[in-house]
Amino acid sequence: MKGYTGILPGGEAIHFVDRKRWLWSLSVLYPLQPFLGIALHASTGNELWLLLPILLNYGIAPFVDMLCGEDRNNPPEEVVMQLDQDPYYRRLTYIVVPLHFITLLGTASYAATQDLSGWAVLGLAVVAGMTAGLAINTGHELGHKNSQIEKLLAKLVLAVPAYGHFTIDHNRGHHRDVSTPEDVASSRMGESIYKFAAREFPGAVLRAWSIEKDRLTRRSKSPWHPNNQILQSHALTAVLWLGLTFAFGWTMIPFLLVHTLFAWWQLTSANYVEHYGLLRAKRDDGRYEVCEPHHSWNSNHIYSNLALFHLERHSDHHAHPLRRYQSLRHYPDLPQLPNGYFGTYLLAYVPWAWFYIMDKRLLALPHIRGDLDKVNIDPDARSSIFLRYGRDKMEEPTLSGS
Amino acid sequence: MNRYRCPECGYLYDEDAGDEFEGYAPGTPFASLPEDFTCPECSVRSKQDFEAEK
Repeated sequence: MKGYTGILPGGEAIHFVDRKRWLWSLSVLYPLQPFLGIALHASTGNELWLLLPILLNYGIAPFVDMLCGEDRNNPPEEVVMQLDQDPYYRRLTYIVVPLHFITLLGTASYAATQDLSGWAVLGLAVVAGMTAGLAINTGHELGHKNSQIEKLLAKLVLAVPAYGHFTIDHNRGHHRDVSTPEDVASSRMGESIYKFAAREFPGAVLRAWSIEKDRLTRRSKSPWHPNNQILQSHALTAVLWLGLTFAFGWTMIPFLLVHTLFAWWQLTSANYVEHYGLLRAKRDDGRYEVCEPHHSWNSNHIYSNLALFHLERHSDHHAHPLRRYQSLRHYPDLPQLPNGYFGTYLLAYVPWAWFYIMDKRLLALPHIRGDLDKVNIDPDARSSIFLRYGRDKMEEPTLSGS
Repeated sequence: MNRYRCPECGYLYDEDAGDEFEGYAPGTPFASLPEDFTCPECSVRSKQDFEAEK
């Protein structure tokens, strides 16, 4: 297996072999899950098989994460540059892009051409939409890079979930404002995922548009100019939708709507768990401190990380946004999520359970230690949170079960 | 003309070249970039964080 040799500060040579090298192909294969359900339906005729990916993601993946546990290994700093530049890893992210189009076309054509019940068509749309959520993940990895090919591929793949404004909002808005009350994509303590979604959906569109409009204004161009990066991606979405509707008929309208809503919901779920309650301090000059690893919730669960191009090593990603997925690092004493993303999403969907588990974890973090002034709190929940956790009533929280 | 580098990701703002994509014409001094300018590549460092290249 390919290895990398670096020189330690003492002059000693160090050899590193990436044991996850071939396992990253899981991130490539993951978007093809709907075809597994389709194959089983085709051979048995039982429509329930079409929903298999829901079971794989929300039933099986949390258990696999629990069983396989965490991977805290880091590539040594001395070889990170070589690992980053190894073209193998980025090629995997290139290969996924056409697979997302194939999955959308494949599920859409199956839904339209097979003799399926109405609920099976919608079920297949949900499954396809969950997969398209992974397209946002691929677009995320690609959209952060500074090469033209990766920026282009990000725009292409984000057309599948109709989320062409993602790269601008995420890179230029979310990363700038992360873990502050100003960020529409950072959830606040006491805010349920449903309340968060109502703030995040429109907020992301408006912020992306405003950032892109400012750029085009500086170039003396109208915001509707073809150079608008958001419109470029959305134009491809329009072509996809019109083409599918033309080819497969009106069934495509509910199919694509459900597909798109579920894709967006995947992103909302990720955004919700990634920065819950975390807050960057304001410095004396009025600027926020730079984003440190402890301003993001992290997960080292190996299985779901391998399925998501290391997205869950989110702390290092926000501290170093251009770092490639294969090089992202684990740090000790970080805010840690209780499971991989799929299991954590399930927790988030039940707000009382989420608050019960996560509020204690949040307040127990070493940089917070129960100090509510260091927490990003939902203004509507402020008084109840202070009543419950206010300093005078505060017992020193303990980080149980981690 | 001077050049300024992002200490996080290495993005270089060269006053001679400006940054056409971002809408800063060649010859735009670093000082006249907007006060809320953040690094066009990583966005996690702002104008005040940029370092002048020797």
